[in-house]
Amino acid sequence: MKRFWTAIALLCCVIGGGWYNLLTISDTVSSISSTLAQATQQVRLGNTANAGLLFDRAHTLYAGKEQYLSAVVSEKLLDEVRLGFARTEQSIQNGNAEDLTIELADLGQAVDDLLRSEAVSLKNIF
Amino acid sequence: MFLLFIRTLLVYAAVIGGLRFTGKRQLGELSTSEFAVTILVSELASIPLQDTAVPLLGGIVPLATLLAVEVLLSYLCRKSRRFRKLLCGNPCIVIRDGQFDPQMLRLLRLSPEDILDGLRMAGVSNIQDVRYGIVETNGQLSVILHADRQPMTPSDCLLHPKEVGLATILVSEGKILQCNAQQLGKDEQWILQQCRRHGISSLQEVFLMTVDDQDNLFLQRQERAV
Repeated sequence: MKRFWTAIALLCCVIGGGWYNLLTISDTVSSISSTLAQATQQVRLGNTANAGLLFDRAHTLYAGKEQYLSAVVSEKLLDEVRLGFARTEQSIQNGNAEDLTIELADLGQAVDDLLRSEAVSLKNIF
Repeated sequence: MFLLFIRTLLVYAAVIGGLRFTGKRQLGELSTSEFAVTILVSELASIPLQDTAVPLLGGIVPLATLLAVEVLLSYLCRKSRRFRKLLCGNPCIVIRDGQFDPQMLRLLRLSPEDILDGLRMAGVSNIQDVRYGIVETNGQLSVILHADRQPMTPSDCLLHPKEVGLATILVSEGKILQCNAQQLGKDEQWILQQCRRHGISSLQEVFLMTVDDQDNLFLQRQERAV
């Protein structure tokens, strides 16, 4: 009977952990994505300096969660995000608005992929 | 992680369903669910070890899920006969009074040769000696012989041989196994007394000492290194 309750507890931990993980990744991704979207908007308005500040904020948000993400998400996906941040940073320094828009879009895509890979969808399951 | 949980459950269901579909031929001594867990666990455990880009949780979560589900299924099997039948199947009688049951053999997709193999492994050469041949849920063939073909036992001859006790190790390589000694109600004093009775002065000279519940003692000396 002890084993039975241990199994129940184990399953509860797995389900609870899975749910917590999904919520955490969802929160992280949505906050980074919305910040990046605002940055893109600023680039379109010609305000590259503001876009740079918003990009820094998105980078800080990501850095705060990177350790947790490394424990639950494949390193390949995280590498895409890291590469995206590095490229976007370079574009901000170059000051080319067109390049920056493209890099921000790519970075947003890479960040969204973190959630897409964990989302409970038929596509992911099968 | 939640996705892994769902995928693991689905793979588990698919493997069990697949094994139930293929039938008893595929199984050894394990039950269907145990067999599924065994092959899945060995694969799952290796994934995070082979690819460091996969988080360790990617291996641990499916593993914990499988093992917990296996325990729950075995509990459900114990509680519900219908569930047990669904998961493990039923024993099937393939030989009755020395005659094959062709319909059952067809159902199990076994040939008479397969059953004859099993009979030979059970030490039976003539099918007419068999009263019942049963393919168990784990795929093993159980053989029940006709009464006049059963091996003779002492009770058939009205003999009453002395019971054989269950031997328990008391001393192993010079060390007393306190847990076993307590179970048998023996103490170090009693053990040393038995050693001295066999011409052994210290425990260091004892390689193995066992006592059964009939108080039969076995003692082997330690080999001296040359």
